[in-house]
Amino acid sequence: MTAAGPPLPRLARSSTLRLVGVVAGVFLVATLGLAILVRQTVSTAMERRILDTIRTDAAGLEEVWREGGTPALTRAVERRRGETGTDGHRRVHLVVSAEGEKLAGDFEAWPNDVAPAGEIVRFRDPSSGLAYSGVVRRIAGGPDLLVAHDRAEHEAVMRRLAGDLAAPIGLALIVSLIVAAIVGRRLLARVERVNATARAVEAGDLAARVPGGGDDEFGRLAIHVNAMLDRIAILMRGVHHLSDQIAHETRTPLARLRSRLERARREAEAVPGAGATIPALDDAIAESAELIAVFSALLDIARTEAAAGDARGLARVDLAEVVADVADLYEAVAEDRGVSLAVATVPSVVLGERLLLTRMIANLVDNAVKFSPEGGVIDIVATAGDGEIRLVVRVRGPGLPEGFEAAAFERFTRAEDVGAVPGHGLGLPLVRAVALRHGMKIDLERADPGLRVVIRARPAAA
Amino acid sequence: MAMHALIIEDDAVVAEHVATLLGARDFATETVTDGAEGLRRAAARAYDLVVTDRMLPGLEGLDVVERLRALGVGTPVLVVSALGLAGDRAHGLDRGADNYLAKPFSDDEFLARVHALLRRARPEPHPEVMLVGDIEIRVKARTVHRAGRHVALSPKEFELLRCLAEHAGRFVPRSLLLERVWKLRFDPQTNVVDVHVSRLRGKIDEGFETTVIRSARGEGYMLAAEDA
Repeated sequence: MTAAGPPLPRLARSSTLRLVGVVAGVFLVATLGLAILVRQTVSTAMERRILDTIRTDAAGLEEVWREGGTPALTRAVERRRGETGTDGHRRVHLVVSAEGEKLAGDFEAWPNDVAPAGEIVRFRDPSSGLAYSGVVRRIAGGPDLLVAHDRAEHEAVMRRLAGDLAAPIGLALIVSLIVAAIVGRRLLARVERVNATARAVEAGDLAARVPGGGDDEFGRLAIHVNAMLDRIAILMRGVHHLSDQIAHETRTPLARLRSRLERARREAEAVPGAGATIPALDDAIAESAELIAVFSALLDIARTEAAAGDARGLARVDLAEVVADVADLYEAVAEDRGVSLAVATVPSVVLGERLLLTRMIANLVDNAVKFSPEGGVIDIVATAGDGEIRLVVRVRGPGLPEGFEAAAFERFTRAEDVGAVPGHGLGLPLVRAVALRHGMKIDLERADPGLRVVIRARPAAA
Repeated sequence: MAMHALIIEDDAVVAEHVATLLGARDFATETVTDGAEGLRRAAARAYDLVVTDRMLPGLEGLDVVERLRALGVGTPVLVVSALGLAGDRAHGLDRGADNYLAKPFSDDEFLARVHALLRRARPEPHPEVMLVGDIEIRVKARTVHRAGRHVALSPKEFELLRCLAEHAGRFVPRSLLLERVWKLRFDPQTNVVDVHVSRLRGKIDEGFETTVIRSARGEGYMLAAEDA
């Protein structure tokens, strides 16, 4: 068995259920404690009342002995046989001589389990099986006296008490469970609203906010989460604005640099008789073009990321058509490199920007063609099902170095052994930015040999 | 007859550069730096071409275009902007611009786009048969002959050749070919266009000694107007 064990079913993991369980447990313990306390108090009170009566009775009998001696006492006890006390309980008596011989009373002999020295006693009569409680009185210079009271009534009261308590306790338990469940669900529904908002934001909807408010802890949580999201939105707008600003401020000087280089080239070429090109100028123009390309790609990534969750400008796009267009574009290059494209798609309509999605798939295929070994096959597969569209590009190339999957999406990151393959490490970051902008999930998976890029998208509503 | 172009651009260096490029193509140019002023002038007289920036004082470049179109002015407009994301271009074209060029651009790319705009704006219908040197392209029948010999081309190769032929004798940058033939507005990392062109070249040149498609400075292609 693994330490983690099998996952708990959803219900058992639910906080509502745990809350209900805890409430039920605490309630049960508290109620049982209370019931025991009540029972104890009632029992003690009853017992004390009985014993008080008995003590009075015993004191009276001792008085009889003092006045009339043992014969008077035995007569008094014989008179009282079968009598019922003022409280309606049967009372028993036993008088034995100092030598242990029965003089009068309801029992034949001193009960075995009653110490003759005890004051307050409890015992069971072996012949009748009845339980008694009573007092023992050793009259100095006289007989021993036992006055007891049968406990049947007492025990019946205790049973009745238990029965009377059980119904309301059970009812209260059920009510408390229901209340706990309702309160739990209501509280957790509010937590769930925060969760739903967080999920929406994660999926790219930056405009999502937690509904409701109020002045309690949950209301304040909602207000804080919303304030945090507002702050993120402001920061995102700042990034957006900054990137526009950079685009304008930096591309203009780059444009000037390039146009001046081109003018220099034109003027050099126009010199009569020279007619030759200046390789350094051509190189400088090529370098500036490269610089501009890297810069544009960075800006494209930044602005695409900033547009994540913005539903404006999205239209229905069939990824199968986009794949077909891209395959058409790359077919020739692939063939030149001895690589073939195996396309298998079903209609996969998503909401998106067609140009961006085309660029995303083109980047993936571009990478696949670059890294595919000669004679290799690149699979481009689009499937739909279970409310999800899956687009998979699989290349049977060398794959990625161990642990490179996460870093592959960072800007300017390239695996170490790809030195000969051109690129700046901006292809996959743009792919991820486009996926993010469309709320798609993207994963790199090992597919020995090679690599599988898996994109999961929500289908557009019909 | 000289053509007239209006340049709306607040960056003096870019404006001057554009004016120089257009001047070399027999354009008389006027430059304004303010969007609102640009709109007023473009609406007041019939220019052959308007080149506008987007982020302008006075009025945004795309607003200028949109208001021009609302006034019924159909002058070809080329938007030149640092906002070069695919979405920005699509947005620009949606709002009435005829072409959208991201800064920074190369001279050849600018001129190729101006040429494409003027060609499209010309009133005469597009010819059914295009003749470039010894190449004959029948647009409707989608057939190509070189010196009377039929050349079998794939649909994309035909589109490539047709686009080059429309700009015969002029440089056509890769970006324009991608846009026209594949409807793509970004530059793939791999030289996909080069491979398609080299295949087209192989088919067109097969059995001939001269090559009609020339590479231009590694950035694009040109279909030679006359036999070299």
